[in-house]
Order: sequence, then structure tokens, then C-alpha cells
Amino acid sequence: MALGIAVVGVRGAVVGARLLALPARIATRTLLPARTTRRLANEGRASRLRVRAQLTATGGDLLAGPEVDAFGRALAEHRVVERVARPVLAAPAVEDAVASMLEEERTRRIVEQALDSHLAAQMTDHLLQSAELERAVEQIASSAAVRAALANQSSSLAGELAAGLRRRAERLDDAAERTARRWLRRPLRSNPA
Amino acid sequence: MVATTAAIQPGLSEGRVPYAGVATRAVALAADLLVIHVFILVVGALLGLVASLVGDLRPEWLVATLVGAAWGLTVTIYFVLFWSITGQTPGMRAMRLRVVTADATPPSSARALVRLVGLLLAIVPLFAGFLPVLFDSRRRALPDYLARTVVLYADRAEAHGVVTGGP
Repeated sequence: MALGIAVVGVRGAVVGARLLALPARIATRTLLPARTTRRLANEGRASRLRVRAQLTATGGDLLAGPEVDAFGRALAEHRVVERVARPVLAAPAVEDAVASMLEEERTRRIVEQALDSHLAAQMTDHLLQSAELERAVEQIASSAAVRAALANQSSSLAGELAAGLRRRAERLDDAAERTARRWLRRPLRSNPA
Repeated sequence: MVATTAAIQPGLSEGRVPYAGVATRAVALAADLLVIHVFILVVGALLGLVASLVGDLRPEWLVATLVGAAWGLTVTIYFVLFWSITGQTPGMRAMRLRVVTADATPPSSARALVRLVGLLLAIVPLFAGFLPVLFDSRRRALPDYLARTVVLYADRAEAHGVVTGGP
């Protein structure tokens, strides 16, 4: 960006100088002899070529120098890209544009083609064979939540059976005790539950 | 014996302590006996297989004595170990029962051994040793009388703060 500003500035200066020199050029064309005019024209062309070559060399020096790095660091430091991108992305027009683009039949076709492509299959294979995916699967499988869910699922039948048996047995506990106490005419126990 | 209840939960009336009844205890005992006998059957079959490869074990009285000793040892280790460590055998765990002493802790190994003797004595006369559960105010059977323990519904006992959770 700095380079662009510099180049534009130099070009502007050249144009301004040419505009300022326009009356003098007209005067010299009319007043000076033709030979002198040609000589001056040749010198002007040569000067223009020199300036152009000089500008090109200066641009190259600028791009090769540390200024570009400093400029990039300044962009990152001041978060220029984020500051510019945030309002742009937040604009309803952009959202509408993206939404309409996604709804387009052409977009759907492109996505389908990408998914059907050989590249997608290769990428999937690569992902499935990667150590990172294996590690991720291992971490998920060994997580407490997954283990609890599996244990809960596998023990649910046995747990339900045991719970049902417990309920029936506890009812039978009280019934048997009540019957025995009635036979012996003893007072019934109060239910602790 | 009155001290048992008072120590389990001071201020808690006897009727509020969730003592386990006869049916639940019977199911737990049946489950434990099933586990023990399946274990003995599997181990016995494996040993019999090995013995048949080596040669028959004789005389027969020796075999019967060894099998009886193995059964007695297995039963003793099973009950004494589980009662004294956790207060629950696997069958009792399934039925959410817990055997505790007066201070609401699992019985010691010696007390668990006494309780096992009581259990065998209760079973021998056609389970008549369990009849007191139906009449006793704390639902105690012969093993509980001998070992000075009670059997509680573990979940309700923990919910009422009668005993803390198992180890």
C-alpha cells in the first residue's frame, strides 16, 4: 500500500510539473527555432525514460527492502484487516449476497462436483489414515461421557431387571411380615420408607 | 441389642431405620449361592479336565473331601471377604442391602465369620433361622443375633443418613 502511494505520488508530481511547464513549452515551441525544439524534445524523451527507469528501480528497491515487512507488521499490529473485514462481513448486503449465492443452483452443482471429485475421495482417505484422526477418535472413545453412556446402555437391562426384582421383593418383605404379625397378633411395624 | 439402633443413628426411632425384610434377603442369598456354585462348577470342571488328562484321582473319598473342602473354603472366603470389606456381597449389592454393626460399619473378619456360622445354622433347619426376621423389631435373623449385626436397605439408609456410602 505504501509503495502504491509512493508511486502515485511520484506520478502526480510528474503530471503537476508537466502542467506547470505547459505555458513554457508552448512559448518555447512558438519562440524557439525548430532545431532547438527537436533537441529539447529529444532531451525530454531521454529524461522521461531515465525517470521511468529510476522509478522502476526505486520500486524494486522498496519491495526488496525492510519497509514492506514493517508495513505488514504495522497492518497486523493495528489489526487493519480485521477492522476492515468486520464491518464488511457484518453488512447485510454481504450476508444477502452469500445467502443468495448458496441458494443458487450453480453453487450446489459446484459443491456436488467437488464432493464427487477424485480429490475429495483422496482427501477423505488421507484424513481417515491420519494419525491425528486416530488420536481424536481415541480421545473421544476414552472420554468419561462416552464411557458412561456405553456403560449405562449395556447395564440398563440388568439394572432394570434388578430394580424390578428389588421392588417386588420389598413389597413381599412387608406383606410377609404383616401376615406373620397378624397371625401372632403383634402390632405392625411402621414403614421406614 | 438396643444399642445397635442408637449407634446407627442417634435420635432415629427404630421404625425409621430401613431394616431389610426376609424376601429381599432371600433373593440376595440365592444370588450369592448361585454365584458361588457357578464359580465352583467352572473351576471344578477345569480341574476335572486337567485331572482326566493326568489320570483319575483316587480314592473317591479323597475326591469328595477335596471338593467339600474347596466348597467350604470358597463359601467362607466369599462371605467373610465381602461382608468385612464392603458390608455387601454381590447378591446384596444387586438387592441394595448392606450388613452393618452397631456403629454402622461393616463387620470385622471375626464377626463376619461368626455371621457365616450363623448363616449355616439358619439354613440347616430348613431356613428356620430366618423366621425371626418376620417378628423382630429390627428384622434380625439368627446370623444377626450371633454377630450383632443388622441388614439395611442400603440406598434408603444412605438417603436417611443412617449409614454413609460404601467404601
